[in-house]
Amino acid sequence: MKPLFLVLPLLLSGAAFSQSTNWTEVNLALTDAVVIPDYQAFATATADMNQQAKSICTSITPQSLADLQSAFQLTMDKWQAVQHIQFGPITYFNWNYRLQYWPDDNGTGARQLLALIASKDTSVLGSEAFARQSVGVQGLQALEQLLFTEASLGELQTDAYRCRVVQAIAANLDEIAAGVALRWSDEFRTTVATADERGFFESAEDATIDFLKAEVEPIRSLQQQKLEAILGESQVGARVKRAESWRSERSVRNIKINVASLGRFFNEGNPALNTVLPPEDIEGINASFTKVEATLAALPDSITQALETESGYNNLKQAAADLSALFELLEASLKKTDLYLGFNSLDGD
Amino acid sequence: MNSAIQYRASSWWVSALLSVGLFSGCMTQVAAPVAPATSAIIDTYISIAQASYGDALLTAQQLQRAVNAFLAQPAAATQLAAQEAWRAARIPYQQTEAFRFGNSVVDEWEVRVNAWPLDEGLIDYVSSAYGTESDNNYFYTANIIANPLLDIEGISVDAANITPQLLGETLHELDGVDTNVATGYHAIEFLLWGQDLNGTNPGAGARPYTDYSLEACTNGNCDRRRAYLESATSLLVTDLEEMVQDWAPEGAAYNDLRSKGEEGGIATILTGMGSLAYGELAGERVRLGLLLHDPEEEPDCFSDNTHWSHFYDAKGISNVYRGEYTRVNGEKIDGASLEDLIRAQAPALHAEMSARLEATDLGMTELAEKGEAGETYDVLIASNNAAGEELINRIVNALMEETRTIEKIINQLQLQNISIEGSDSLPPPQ
Repeated sequence: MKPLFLVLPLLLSGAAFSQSTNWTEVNLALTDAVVIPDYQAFATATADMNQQAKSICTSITPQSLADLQSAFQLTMDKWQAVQHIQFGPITYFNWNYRLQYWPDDNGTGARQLLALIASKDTSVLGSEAFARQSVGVQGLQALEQLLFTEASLGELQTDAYRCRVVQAIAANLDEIAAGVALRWSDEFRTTVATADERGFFESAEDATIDFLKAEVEPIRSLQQQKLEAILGESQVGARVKRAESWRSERSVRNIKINVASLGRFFNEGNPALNTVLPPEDIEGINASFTKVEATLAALPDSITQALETESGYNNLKQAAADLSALFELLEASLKKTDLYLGFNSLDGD
Repeated sequence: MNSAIQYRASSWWVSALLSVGLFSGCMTQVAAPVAPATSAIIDTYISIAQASYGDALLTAQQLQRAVNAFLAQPAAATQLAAQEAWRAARIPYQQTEAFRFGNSVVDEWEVRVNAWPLDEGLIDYVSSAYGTESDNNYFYTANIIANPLLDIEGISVDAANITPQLLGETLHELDGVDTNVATGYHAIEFLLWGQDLNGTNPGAGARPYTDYSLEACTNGNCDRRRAYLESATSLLVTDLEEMVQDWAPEGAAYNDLRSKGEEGGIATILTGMGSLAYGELAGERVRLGLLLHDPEEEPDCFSDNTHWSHFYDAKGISNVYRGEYTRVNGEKIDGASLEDLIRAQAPALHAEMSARLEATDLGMTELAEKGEAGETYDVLIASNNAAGEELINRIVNALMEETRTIEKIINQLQLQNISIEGSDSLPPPQ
């Protein structure tokens, strides 16, 4: 029997692509061209929503609620563009989970929100105390639950506490979104620029791997969590309420934005992230992006609406298959490099 | 199996030993560690799997006897004895969890015995605080014990006779919903303790023993509740018997592991360690509860036994790495291990991994001590418990660090294509 370490090096013979990348240039180009502007856009939308929320409780009308709903929709658009970036400042202070606790398989957030509203406890609504509450009541999912039911208008008009919870969430989101944007443009950009010298990343290549994880792993997540978990085995077996943002009728819109953002993340910046992969693979990967986008473009923004027809269901299935194909292309391309993304936090779920 | 375990020196290590002798000039050397053969490491791993699943079965059979005694004579004392037997059964079972990920035979079977979280309203009565509906589950409050016939959203269930087959084949994961947990440790736990209605304050479930009394039945349907508890316990024993067989020579798990070859076997060991430490334990079971400050997010939420379940999960990872396990009868299994290999091949990495395991053990020991002193996991995760938050975060960080070191071991051994179970409540390891 051969000792392990004499056997295993044979496994590494697969890497063929010769890497000559300036990792820091790639990381900074992506940070400046995509990450910072997109987080700033999210922060701007969230600040606007907070401004609207501040005045809503004095007089809640169909129009003022519609305006706040629109502000929510815009905020969600901008959040969906950066949702896939799960490293860096977004991980500080549990900001990622406080912004959006989803998926919530056990309905914990919904249950806790109802308990909070029933408590009428005003002592938890100040920004400091609210930040210590369950992530299930602090973010976009809870706000959606308050703003997007048929009863929302009446409940907000008759229950002042409920309206104050809306304000607390909007203020909380504003504070977090501003914090993430500021940290990226300030301290974390420096961390990325000096990845070879300081402690957070082991090297600039290590930082690139985090960018790559933010590119590749979310594609599997879109396929599995945002589509397959809802679609089940048949149109009648589909479960709309497992979808992200089903209340605000934008589940498919989220995925459209996610895919477009992942495409930009891959291709924008000079040098772009795609330059770390073998050049001969890029055209195929981009064609695969285009295929997913085309499939999604044929669908309405609402997954409820999409699931009403067989063709809609089939298109959603096709989008899941397209995403899987895209993921596999990226994975195959990565295998030609020496870049090891480490533990995949999605496979095996 | 142990007799087959032996250490082999590689030519590389023979060279290394000679080098030490030549250059140190030291005549009274402590022998440098010798790398064990990969096959011997896998043999030890299988030995521990056989012993720990054997113990899980043994203690489940003891639980079954205690449950039968409770049902024969429902009383506070017999209920307590059954609860204690349940706690004892968790000790070896939790240590088997390091075998779950990476071994698909185990992972596919596991949902039958240890599924969590569960919507307990599927099984029995619940308090109003539990709510009446869930976005994900039409059977959230189906209450099988009270309802022999169900017809919800076009799905009919004939539950007139509560049997192991009904629980395992019909009710478990009903409608494809993971939280419809009808079988396993946690279903039994709910039946023995009932809901913990203390929120994040001290105290576990307080189900009256009369819930099982035919003469002085409380909360109705005691005959059906008795049938449920008896069936669920019986099914747990049957399921564990199956897993013991699966690890016996030529069993499904045994053959599957052997078929992966030596590198595949080592990759399986590390996949199990990393997935349990990172996604499952640090993420789903430890951190998520803190993020949500919600006692429902506690794995052993009815019994408040979570501190021990976490402790023995972490111990299971250590067992597998160190190639050692102490059986419930005190017998020790000890053989060639991954630890021996890393110690010989990369001493600094060995020291790092030892430190990581010790840090986790330190945190878990503190968690267990606090739990035994009344400050259980659900108390520690309260939104205003700063000391509890500090401890939970320390444990999560220790497990994350442990995972990073496992990743380094994977790189050291140049293993590829390893997928580690993640968690929605954790960022990827840096």
